[in-house]
Amino acid sequence: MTTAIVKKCGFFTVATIALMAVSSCSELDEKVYSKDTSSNFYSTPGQVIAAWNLPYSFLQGITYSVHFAMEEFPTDEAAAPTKSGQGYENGTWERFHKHTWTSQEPFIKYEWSNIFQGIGYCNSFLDAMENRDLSDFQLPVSQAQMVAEIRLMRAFYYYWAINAFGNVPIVTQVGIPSSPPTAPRAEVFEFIENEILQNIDQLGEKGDPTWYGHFTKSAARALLAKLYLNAEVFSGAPRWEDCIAQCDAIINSGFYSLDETWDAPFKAYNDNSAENIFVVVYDANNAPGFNAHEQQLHSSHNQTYDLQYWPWNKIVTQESFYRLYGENDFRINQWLVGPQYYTENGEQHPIYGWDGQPLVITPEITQFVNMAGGDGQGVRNIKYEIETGVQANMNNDLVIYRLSDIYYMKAECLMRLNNGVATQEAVDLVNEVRARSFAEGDPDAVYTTATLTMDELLDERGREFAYEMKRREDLIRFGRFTDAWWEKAASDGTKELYPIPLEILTTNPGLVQNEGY
Amino acid sequence: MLVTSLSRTKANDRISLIFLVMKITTALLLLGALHVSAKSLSQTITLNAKDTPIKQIFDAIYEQTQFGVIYNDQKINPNQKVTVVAQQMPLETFLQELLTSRNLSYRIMEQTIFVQAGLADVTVGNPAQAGKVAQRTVTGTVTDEQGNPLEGVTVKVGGTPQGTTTDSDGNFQVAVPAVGNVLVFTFLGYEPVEITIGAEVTIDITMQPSLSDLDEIVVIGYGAQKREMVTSSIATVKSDAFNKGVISDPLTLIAGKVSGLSITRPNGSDPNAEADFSLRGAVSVEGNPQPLIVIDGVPGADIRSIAPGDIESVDVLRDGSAGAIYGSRANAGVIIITTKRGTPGATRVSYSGYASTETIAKKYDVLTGSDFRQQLVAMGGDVSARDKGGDTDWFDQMTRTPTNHGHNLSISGGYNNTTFNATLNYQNFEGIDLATKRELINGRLQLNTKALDDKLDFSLMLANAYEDKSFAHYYGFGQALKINPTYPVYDENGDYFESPEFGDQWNPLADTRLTTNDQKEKRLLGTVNLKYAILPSLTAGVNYSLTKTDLLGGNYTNTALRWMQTSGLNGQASRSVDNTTNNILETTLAFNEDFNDHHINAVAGYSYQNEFNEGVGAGNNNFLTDVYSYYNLGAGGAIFNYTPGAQRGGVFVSSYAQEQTLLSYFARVIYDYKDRYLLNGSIRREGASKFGKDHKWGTFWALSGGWILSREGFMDGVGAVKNLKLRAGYGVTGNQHSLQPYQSLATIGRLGRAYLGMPGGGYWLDTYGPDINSNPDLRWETKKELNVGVDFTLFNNGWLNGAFDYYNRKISALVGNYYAQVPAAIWPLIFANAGELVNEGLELTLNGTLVKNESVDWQLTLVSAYNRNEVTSISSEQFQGTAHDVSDIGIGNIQRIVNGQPIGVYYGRRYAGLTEEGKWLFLNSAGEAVTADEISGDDYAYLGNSIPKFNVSLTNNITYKRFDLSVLLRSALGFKAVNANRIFHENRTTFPSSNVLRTAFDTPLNDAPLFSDYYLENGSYLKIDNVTLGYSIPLKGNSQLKKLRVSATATNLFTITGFSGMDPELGINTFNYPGIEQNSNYYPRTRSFTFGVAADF
Repeated sequence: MTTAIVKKCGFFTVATIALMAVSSCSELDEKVYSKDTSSNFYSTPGQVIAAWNLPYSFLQGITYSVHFAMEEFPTDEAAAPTKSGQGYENGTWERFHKHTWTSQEPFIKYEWSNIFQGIGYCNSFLDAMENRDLSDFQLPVSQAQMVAEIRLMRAFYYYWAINAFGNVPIVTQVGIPSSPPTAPRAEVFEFIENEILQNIDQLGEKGDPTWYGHFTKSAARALLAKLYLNAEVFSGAPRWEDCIAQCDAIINSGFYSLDETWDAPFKAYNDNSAENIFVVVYDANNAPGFNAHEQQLHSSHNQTYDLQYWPWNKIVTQESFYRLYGENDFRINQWLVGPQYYTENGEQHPIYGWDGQPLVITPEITQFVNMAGGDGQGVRNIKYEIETGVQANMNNDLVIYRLSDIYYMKAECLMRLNNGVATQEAVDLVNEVRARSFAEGDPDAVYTTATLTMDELLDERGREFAYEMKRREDLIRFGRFTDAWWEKAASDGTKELYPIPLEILTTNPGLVQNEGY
Repeated sequence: MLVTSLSRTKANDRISLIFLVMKITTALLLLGALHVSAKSLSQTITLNAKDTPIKQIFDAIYEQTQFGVIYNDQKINPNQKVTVVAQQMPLETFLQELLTSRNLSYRIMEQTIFVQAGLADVTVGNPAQAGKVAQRTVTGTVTDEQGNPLEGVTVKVGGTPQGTTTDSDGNFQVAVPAVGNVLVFTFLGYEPVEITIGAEVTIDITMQPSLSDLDEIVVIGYGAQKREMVTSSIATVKSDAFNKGVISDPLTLIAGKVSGLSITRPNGSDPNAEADFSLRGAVSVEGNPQPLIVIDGVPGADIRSIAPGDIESVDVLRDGSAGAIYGSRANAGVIIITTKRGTPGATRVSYSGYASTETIAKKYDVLTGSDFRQQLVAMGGDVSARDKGGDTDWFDQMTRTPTNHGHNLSISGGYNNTTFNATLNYQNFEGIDLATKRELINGRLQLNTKALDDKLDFSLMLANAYEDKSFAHYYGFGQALKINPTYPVYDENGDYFESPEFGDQWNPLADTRLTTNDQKEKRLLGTVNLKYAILPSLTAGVNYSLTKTDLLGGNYTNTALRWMQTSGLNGQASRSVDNTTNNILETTLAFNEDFNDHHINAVAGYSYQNEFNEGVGAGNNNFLTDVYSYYNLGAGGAIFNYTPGAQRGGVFVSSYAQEQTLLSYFARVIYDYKDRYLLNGSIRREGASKFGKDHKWGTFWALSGGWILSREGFMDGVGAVKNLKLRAGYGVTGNQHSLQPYQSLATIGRLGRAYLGMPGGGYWLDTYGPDINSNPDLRWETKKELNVGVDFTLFNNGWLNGAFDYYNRKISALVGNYYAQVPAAIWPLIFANAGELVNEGLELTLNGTLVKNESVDWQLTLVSAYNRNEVTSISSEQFQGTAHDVSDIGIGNIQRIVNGQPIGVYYGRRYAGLTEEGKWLFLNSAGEAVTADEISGDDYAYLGNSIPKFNVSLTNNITYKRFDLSVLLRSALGFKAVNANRIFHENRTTFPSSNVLRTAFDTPLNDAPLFSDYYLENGSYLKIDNVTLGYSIPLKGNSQLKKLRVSATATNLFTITGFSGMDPELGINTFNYPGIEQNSNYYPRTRSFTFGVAADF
C-alpha cells in the first residue's frame, strides 16, 4: 500500500507534504511597518533629540487638564460648581471642593497615571542612553546634559508625586521592578534632592540655545527651593536655610528680573517675560492643551472674545477668595465680574445668560450644585491673556516657576526662621513684587514688618499666584488646608494627601494606601 | 409516489427489454461470477439530492461516472423519492448508502451497474434454510400514510435471516419459521415497524415517514459527518429554516434558531449596524468576540462577502470539542457557512425578490411644544427666553417611511462532471432615519468539476460584493429628545434654525442633513479547492483563498452648519482608505476506510494565513463652496494657512500598515465501531505572530465520544425510543481576536510636539517615545470546555427529536486591555493575560412534528438555553486588579467586570427614597439612608446581571395545502435593563435647558441625574419576532414557470415586556453596553413589513 501511495500520489502528495513541512518560527516574527521599535531607535541625532524632548512635551497634555484641577479645586481658589444642572460630572467637583473624594475619583487616577507616565518616558530615555556613546552625533547639547535634564524632569514629576500622594514607589527603569513597593515620603524627598544635586552641574542655563522650556540650572534650583520650602511637610524636617540658599542663587544669578507689570508673565506671547524661569511651552497649533479660556468663560463669552467654540462655563472662584483683592489692586483685573459685553463697531452690546437675560457675573454663588440656574455666578479668571479669536487652545506658555515666587519663598523662609515674624528683608522682597500692582504712591502697595503677618503672606501669595497651581501646597504648609470655607466643612488632616487610586492600588500588591483611605 | 405498470413510458419498455437480457446475467452473478471493474474503485459521486426520484439519481451516476444503471422498473419504482448527500463519495460506498437501506442491491459488471430488488444476501425463501423448521407464509401489503403502496420495503423476520422486500404494489410474501413471531419492516425515510404475529397469515402495514434528521449531513470543519455520528454539540440550520424578511446582517438569519446562540440587534433596524452575538455566554472581557466564520472552508472569511440568499446551510460548532480543530480562533464559536452549489441536470433559473417598509415600533413621549410652554409658565420666570413659538416633533422630523428592496437571480445546473451556480444579488436599504443608505451588489460564481479520470475534484468560488453606504447620525436622535420643542426647524430665511443662546441646543435635523458620512466597500472572496484521490481511501487536498476588503470612506460637513461657522472650520472634509488582504493556504490529507466494523476517517493538514492591513487618510477644512463635498480635499483653505491662530483642526495626513500571520498543523481522527461506539479526537498546533516571542505557539486539542444506545440489543424493546445517543466531549480552544498586532513589542511612536530653542527663535519638533506598554509575555487566551449531551428521536415516526446539552467552560488567561502596574509601566493600560471566567449552561432543542397529513404539516421547534457566568478572577501574578469598570453612560461607569460576579454586573448606589424636596437618598454601607454627597464608592453595591440568563425561542411552521405560515417567538429572561433616557430625561432638573419626558413631572424626583438601582428594570421580554405567510400559486402544467410563491413577512411585530425603553433587545457583550438603552446616541426601533416573491423556471 505504501508503494501504491508513492506511485499514485505524484504532484499532490509532494505538494501537500512539502507545504505541510514548509514553515519555521521565523515566519511568526512580526514585521513592523508604521512604527519603530526600541531596538532600532536612537540611531540618528534627530531620533535622540525627539526622545529627549518627550518628557517636556508630555507636560502639555497633563498640566492644565488634570494637574491644575488637583492643585486648585480642593482649595479656596478655584471651583467647578454645577450651573443650571450643567457640569455636575457625577459630583466629582463637589467632592473635591468638600474634601470628600475617594480613591475612586477618575481625576486622582489620571494624576497618578500622568505623573508616572512622565516618569516612564524619562526612564525610557535614560535606559536608552545607558551604555550608549553618542559622541559621534551632532547634538545641540551634550549627551551628559540631555541625561541630566531628563533626570531633572524625572525629579520634577516626582515632586508632583510627593506633593499629591506622598508615599510612592521610586522607579528608575521601565517595567522594572515588578510590583514596586511604596517608599515613605521622606525617602522620596531624599531621592528627589539627590537627583537634583547630582545633576545640576551638567545643566545649561538661561540664554543657552535650547534653554527655553527646558531644565536649566535656575529651574533646577527653583525645584530644589520648592522642595526645601515644603521639606517639613514632605520629610518632617524643615530646610528653610537651604531654601534661601537656592533662592539666593537664582536671584543673584542675574538671569532674571521682575516684569514691569503683574500680568506680563501671562501674556499670550509671554516667552520674553523677564521673570519666568520654567514654563510649559504651549502653542495653539503645535502644542495644544492649555484652554483656560474654554474652561473658565461663560458660553456666551464666545461673542466677547470672538471665540470659535462655546466655552464650558466650568471654573469659577469662590467669593471669599475674590474678596482678598482690594479694588485698588491692579491684580483684581484678572477677574471677570459684572455685566458682560461684546463690542461691535465700537459699541458695547450685552451678551446673554442661559435664562435669556443679559449676563451679569456675580461674585456670589448661591450653591455649589445648582440645578436650576446660576450660570452667571462666580468670577472668572483671565490672568492668562485671552486673545481675541483664539482657537480651542491658547498660545500662552504656562508658568511653572517665576522670579516673584522665588522672592516670596525667600521672604517666607526668613519669616519662618524669625518665628513667623517678618524681617525687613522679607518685607522688602514681597514689596518689590507687590508694588507694581498698585498705583504709584498707593499706601497699600507696601507692607511693613507689622502688616506682613504669616496670614497676610498666605493671602498675598494667593493674590499673586492665583491659578498658578500653588494654592494646595501653600495651604497645607500654612496649616490651613483643612479649614472650613464656603460649602466645605473642616476636613481631616489625612486629606492633605490624595489616596492611591483604587485601580492602581489593586494592580500592585507592593503599594500601601495612604492613611485615611 | 408509485408509477404503476399501466402508465409506463416507451423508455421504460426499452429498459424492460434490456432487463430480459440481463436476467441471464443476473443468474450468473448470483453464482458468484462477479467481475468488478477496477475503475469503479476510483469513481466518486458528488450529489446533493432531496426528495429526488431515484431514476434521476441513476442518471446522475451515469453523468458523473459513465457507469450506466440497469434495473427492472417493475420491481423497482423509478420514481421513489430519495434524499442523498454525497461529497466525493466512492461509487461503491455511494451505491451501498443509496441502495442497501432501500432493500436494493447492486452488482457492477464492466461499466454497468445492475440494481435489483432485495438484499443480495437474503433471497426469498432462503433455500438453505428451507425445510429445516416448520414454517408458515405470511403475506400482506405495505402502504404509506396516504395509502399508497410502498415498494422495496424490507421485511425481516426478527431473530432470523429470513426476509423479503415488497413489490411495486407493496405486496410481500415471507416464510416465517415456527420460532419467528416478529416481523420488522424497514424503509429509508420511514419509521421502522415491528409487528408481533400470531397465527394470522395476512398483515397489512402502514408506514409513517421518518421525521428525524439523523441522515442530515453536518459540516464539522475539514470534513462532514452524518448527524447521527456527531459526538459534539453542533447545530445546523438549513436555508429553508432561515428567518425571512429584511436581513441586513446575515447572522440574523439564524437568530432564535440555535440554542445557546444569542443574537440581538442593539442598534435596531439600522441597515448598516451589525448584530450583537454571543455563543454560550460571554467569552472575553475585551473587544468584540466575533465567532470564526468559515465560508466553504475559508476560515476567517467575512460573512458580508456573500449574499444571504447564497447560503445553503449554517453549522454552528458550539462546544470546545467541535471547535478545537480551528484552534486559536474558536473561543467565541465557529460558524460554518456552506454556499449553494449547482446540481447536474437542466439549468435552473430562479428569482426571488422583496420589497419592504418600516414603521416606528415605539417612541419616547417627550413634551410637545405646547406642553413645554405650559411647564415654562407653571415654573414662572421669563417664558419668552425659552419659548420660540414653534411646536416641532423633532423625532418625527428625523424619520421617514423607508422602502427597502432586494432581488436575487440565480442560475444553476451542470452537465456530466461539471456543475455551476451563479447568482446576482442586489439590495437597497434606506433606514428609517434620513441619512442612511445601503446599496449592495453581490455576484457569485461557484464551479465544480472533475478531471484526471475523476480523481481530481476542482472547485472554484468567486464572490464579489460591492456596498455603497451612508451612515446614520445616532447622536441626532439623542438630540431630538433634548431639543426645545418650541424651536422651529427653519428660521425666517428658510435656513435651519439654530438657537443663539446656548451650544447644547443644536438643531439635529441640520446636523443630519448637512453632514455626510459615506463608505464604499468592496469584498472579494475567491477560493480554489483541489482534491485528488490518491487512493479511494486517501485524498489530498489543497485550498487557496484570497479575501480582500477595501473600504473607501468620505466625510463632509457642510459650511451651512452653524457649528462649522462658529468654529471657523467652514466646511470639513476627510477621506480614508483601508485595505485588508488575507491569503490562506491549507493542505489536507484525508483517509477514510472501513475495516469490517471499524470505520476510520482521519484528516491531517497544514494551514497558513497572512493578513495585511494598510490605509491612508487625509482631511482638510475651510471650503469656499459645498459643491465638492469630499471629492476635492485639496481645495480646502486650511492646509496651507499658517497664519497664527488659523483653524487647522481636521487637517491631517496619515497612513499605516500592519501584518499578522497564523501557522498551524492539525489532525483529527473519527472512529466508530459498529456505528455504535463513536470516538473523535483532534489536535491543532497553532502559532500566531501577535504573541510574545516565547509564547507564539499553542496546542489546542479535543476528545469526544458517543454511544448510540438505540443500536444496542437491550433497547430493542423500547419502542418509543427510535434513536438515542449519549455523547461527551472536552476541548481546548483559544482566542486571539481581541489583540492588535505588535502589542508584545517595544514600539516607538510619534507623540506630542516640543519647542526647542531660544524664545522666538526655536522650532517645533515631533517627540518620540514608547507608544504602548509592551508585553513580551503576551500569550493565548484558552478555553477549556466540557460538554455532555444527549441526542434523541422519540415516538412513532420519530415525531419528536431533540438534543440536550450541559456545558462547563473555563476561560483563562483572558486577553484584555488591563490596568497596568503604573509604575513601572508607562501607559495606564496594557494588553495582557489575566483572570478567569466560567460559563455553565444547559441547552435544550426540541423539534416536533405535531401534525403531518395530506393537507396539514405543523412543525414546532423549541430552542432554549440557560447560561450562568461568573468572573472567577481578573488578576494574574503580574496584574492584580480586582475590577474593571465598563459602560460609561455619561455619568460614570455603571457596570463592572469583577471577581465573583457575572460579567457586566451593575454596580452603583442603592436607592433609599427621596427627601421631601425630591432629593436622592441612598443606602450607605451601614444601611442608613443618606443624601448623595455622603455616598462614596465604598457604599456602592452589586445590583444584578445585565445579560439574559435564559433565551427561549419557538418556531412554528405550518403548511396547509398551498399556504405556509411561519411564526418565530423569541424571548430573553432573567436580566436587569437600564433605560438611560429615563436617567437623563425623566428628570425635571434639566428642564427647561433641555426637553424632558412627559413622566419627568409625574415623579417627585428633583435632583441631579445619578445612577442607582432605582433605574434597574426587569428586562425580560417575549417577542413575536417574525411572522411569514406564504402561498404557492398553482401553475398550469405547460408553464415555463415551475414554482411561484408569494409571501408576506412582518418582523418585530409585538413585544411583551415591562421595560420602559424602546426595546429590551439590547447589547449582550461588555463592549456593547449590555442591558443598557443608551441615551445620547441611539437608532430607532422599527417593525418591518415585507412582501416577497420567488419563482423557479
